Amino acid sequence: MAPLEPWQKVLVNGLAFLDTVHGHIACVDCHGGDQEQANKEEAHAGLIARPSLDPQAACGDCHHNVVATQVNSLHSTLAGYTKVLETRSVPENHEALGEMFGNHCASCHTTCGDCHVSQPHEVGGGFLSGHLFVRTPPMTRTCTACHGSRVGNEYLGQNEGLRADVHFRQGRMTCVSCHTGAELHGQPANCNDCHSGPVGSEMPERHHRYDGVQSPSCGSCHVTATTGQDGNAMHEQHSADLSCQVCHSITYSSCDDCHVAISEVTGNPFYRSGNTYLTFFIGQNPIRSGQRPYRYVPVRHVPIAPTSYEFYGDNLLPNFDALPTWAYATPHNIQRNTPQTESCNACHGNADIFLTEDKVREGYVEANRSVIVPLVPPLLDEDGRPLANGLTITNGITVTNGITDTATQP
Amino acid sequence: MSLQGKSLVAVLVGLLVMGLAACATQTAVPAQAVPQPQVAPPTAVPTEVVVIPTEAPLEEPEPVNECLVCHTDKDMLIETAAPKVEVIKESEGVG
Repeated sequence: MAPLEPWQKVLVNGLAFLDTVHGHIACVDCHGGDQEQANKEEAHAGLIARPSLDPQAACGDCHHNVVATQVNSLHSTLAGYTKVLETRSVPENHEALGEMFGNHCASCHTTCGDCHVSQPHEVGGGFLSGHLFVRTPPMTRTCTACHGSRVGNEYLGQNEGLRADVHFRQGRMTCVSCHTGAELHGQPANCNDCHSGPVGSEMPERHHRYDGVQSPSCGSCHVTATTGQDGNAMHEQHSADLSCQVCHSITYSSCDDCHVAISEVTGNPFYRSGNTYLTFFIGQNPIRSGQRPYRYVPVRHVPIAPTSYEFYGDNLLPNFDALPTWAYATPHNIQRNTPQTESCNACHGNADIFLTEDKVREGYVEANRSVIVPLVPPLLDEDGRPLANGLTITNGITVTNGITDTATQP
Repeated sequence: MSLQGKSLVAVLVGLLVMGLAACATQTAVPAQAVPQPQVAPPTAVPTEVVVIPTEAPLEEPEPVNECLVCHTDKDMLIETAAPKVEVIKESEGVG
């Protein structure tokens, strides 16, 4: 997303804006300041640049149903970050981690205006369309402006040599085609209203964004494929034990070792992330459930290290091993045909694409025990039966009928 | 009846007659319409109207919305923009 010049960020399309519903509201009603002053400083005294930082005051009078739930949405609460931080930590460290969170993470908090009036503040801001209120935010200037380095690059095909997601390339679908406005606004307030189980069942409390029924789900459109009823032998065989992305996604980004601190030079918070690299690894599903029964899922390395927040204190993540650093992922680069769909043995017996222990860096094995694949599925013969003497040697690892012999590692 | 007694009766009868006469005067008089003075209906009398010259009423001017004046004027925004501050990029790697 190209940065805007300062004047571009605040140039109002007067004629068009005044003709809209919001154009009938006085500027000062939302933004404060003094509209009778021609002098900039005097006019801007008491200015509220981002009124929807207080969504109830700015938007709640008319959009009360949205505001009521939006404040509890992930875009507003960033609850996912808090969840993983607390899981890896202990209560006595929460205060230090809270300070870290405020300095480095909370700026990603999204307001109503960050999607419907301006580009997100975190990526520089600036009106989307001359201060017109945009009902459906443009994908590349809002969604992928923040979710860019992984999801955005994958979906739009911006990783060199890798094609865009077929849903974008051929379907011209945008984020909201699957992630509805209701979902993005945190509606309904009770997650289980959508992510519920079969009638009469009681869903456990949600601890993870992948808990509960999949929503959005590939099966919403591809019903017969996801239930193995479309005549495709692979779907029939694997629709229950492989997530769709295992076969239909391609190489995606992983990152290592993000560290944060406050600059001694400027006093500003900054981060330094380590390696970023393209991978494709199939791991075990660490949160297998009735709704996600898959044995295997793609896994992506997230940029966390035991020392990520050491600027704020020693050993702030004493339970680092409580969560895998290779996280269950749903890469947004879906293709009909991928290297995995070429043949059965593109995966069977191919240790290269499985997250085996040898691929996990030293010191991170215990954290990733739940996703590490102990046994690579065996090679199959032409009839699809496991080879009696199936054997493959990959990266120095001997795999015999799916049994990884780590003793042969160099 | 003695003379004294007759006199007393005469006085009492006299008083009774006077009392009755007084009452009869108040109630027996028929209500009569009080004659109203005849008033001629008002008629317009042409009078000379003196017009006092006054200043023409001033129209309240629409207050100028200085917010829009500036924020719809690209050149003014460029002219009044705060000088760009060189931001030292200290973060490294993918965010």
